[in-house]
Amino acid sequence: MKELLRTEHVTKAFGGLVAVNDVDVMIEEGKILALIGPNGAGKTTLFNCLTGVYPITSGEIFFKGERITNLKQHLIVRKGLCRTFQELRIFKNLSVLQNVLIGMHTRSNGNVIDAILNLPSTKAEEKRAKEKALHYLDLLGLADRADVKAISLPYADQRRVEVARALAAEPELLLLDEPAAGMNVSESHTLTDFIKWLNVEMKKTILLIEHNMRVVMPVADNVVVLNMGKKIAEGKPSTIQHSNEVIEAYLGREYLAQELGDK
Amino acid sequence: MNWFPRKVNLKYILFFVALLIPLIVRAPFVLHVIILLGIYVILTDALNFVTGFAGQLALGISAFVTIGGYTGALLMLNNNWSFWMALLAGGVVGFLSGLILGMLSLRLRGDYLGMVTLGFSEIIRILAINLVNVTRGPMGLPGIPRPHIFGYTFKGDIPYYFLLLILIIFTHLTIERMLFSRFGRACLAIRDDESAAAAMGVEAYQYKVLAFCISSAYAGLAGVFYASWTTLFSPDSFQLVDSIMISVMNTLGGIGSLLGTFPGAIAIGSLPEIFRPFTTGAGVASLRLALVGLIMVVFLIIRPQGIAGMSIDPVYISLEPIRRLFFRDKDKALENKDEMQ
Repeated sequence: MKELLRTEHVTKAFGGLVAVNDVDVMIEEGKILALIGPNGAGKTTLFNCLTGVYPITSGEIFFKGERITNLKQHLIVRKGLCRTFQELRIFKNLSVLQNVLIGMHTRSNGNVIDAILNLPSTKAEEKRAKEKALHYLDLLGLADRADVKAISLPYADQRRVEVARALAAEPELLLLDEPAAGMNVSESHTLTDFIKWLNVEMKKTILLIEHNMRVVMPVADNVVVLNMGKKIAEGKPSTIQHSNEVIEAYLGREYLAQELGDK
Repeated sequence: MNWFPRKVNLKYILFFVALLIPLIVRAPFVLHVIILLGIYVILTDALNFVTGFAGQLALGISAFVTIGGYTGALLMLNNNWSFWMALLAGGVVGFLSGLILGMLSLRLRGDYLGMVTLGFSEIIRILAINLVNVTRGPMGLPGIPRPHIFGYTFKGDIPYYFLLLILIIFTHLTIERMLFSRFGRACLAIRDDESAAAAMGVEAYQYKVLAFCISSAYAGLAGVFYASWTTLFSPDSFQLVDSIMISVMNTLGGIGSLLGTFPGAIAIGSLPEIFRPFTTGAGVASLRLALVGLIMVVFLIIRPQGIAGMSIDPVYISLEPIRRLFFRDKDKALENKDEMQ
């Protein structure tokens, strides 16, 4: 299997606070990697480092063998890395279709001069982008809501708009930041199917931040556990589940002592 | 009656009314005020482009009107440029000064940007007063030439009115086209959520600077027009209070709306003139502005999103009543025919 993304000793410090500390992560093409860890473990910070939101303090990031450390965000998106957000970040006042069209920003052309002249080539490009955006909406079952203001959709549909928007950027690696946030059991069950569908049918490699083990266990090929900014474990979901260090990080030392004592 | 439209886009109605205005309005003073309102419409559009569409709080638009006005006036007076070339130059210089200020200040967000633009506006005014060698200081530049076209020289307000109408149409057409393009969408996305836009690959900083430059270019154009129309340009022509009035017009019309700039600019721009007869005399002259402020406050309590809200959709006026009035019988005959088939 070919590696798609690799980080080497990535460290991000905010002043004295080291949010991500010497983390090595590797994702193979076509796989699903889950990033788990307690609150404040540095998962989202690592996401922000990968997507170029924050410049990293030290270390290197490679995507498809190419160094992308500290590149500007739009260049990283262009290379094929796109994310969703933990808290919903759709463009509220824009229509569902416009939201997805923004996702296509790096995959379409047209500047101010083109817009003002509105030549046939510009119109054709705009039409192509719209058709493609509608295609993505169709995939997510939102085609009939294309002209609705995004904010007026129910929560679950807004999440789907966010995914459609990310898919429209045609990423090879999709970064999903806690997609199950705010979902109940049956909804998170649907979500696991959906993540598998993204992986298998849409051929996306996925890096997933998730708290919910019900989501992580059935989908992830590999799990990386972060705690206090450090990688404390890595492996198959089944092995991770029984790792003492992980249980300690998640459930506390007393719990572990009790468990061991019982045995 | 299939040829008769069922609905018509509001902008065509506005255009039609605008064509009729010089025929209806006979009082020179009223036409003068209408031209001033037209300039306000362009400036409100310009401001709306950067605040309403790109979401950046810019306050000192007068600075760019002043820059454009002086550029145009000096080129016409000292270098004998034609009005048309000076108009173009005003837009270009407006764009470039927007580029310089934008590149320096658009890394700031929110209130800070507002402060920088306000400060810049004051700097430009003070420069205009103190660069006496160039601008003649507070005395201003008098005798700015009028436009010529095909051997015809502009006289009186009516040709200026039509020139302004063309400029307004140009402004609106270009803004509309930009808005419904990849560029405009990116601006709207930045307004709604800058970091999400950036995460989708939008080069947020570049787009903000570009939107600011375009806004400044419109302001520069308007400045050259104003200079030629009044034939005098001075540091007092566009001041801080005008910047604030234009922000008020934008707010009242609806920040981020496409057509709200018209009712906003016309309502706020004409209020001081409406109040003029009631507030003459030294002590009460400033009362007019206070009244404008009061109306603004009351209006924003009733309708905080402004007249047109954030709507960028085309507005259609239904023509069904007119159809019914004139073509009722024929429509009925048609309907009967359909039923029989």
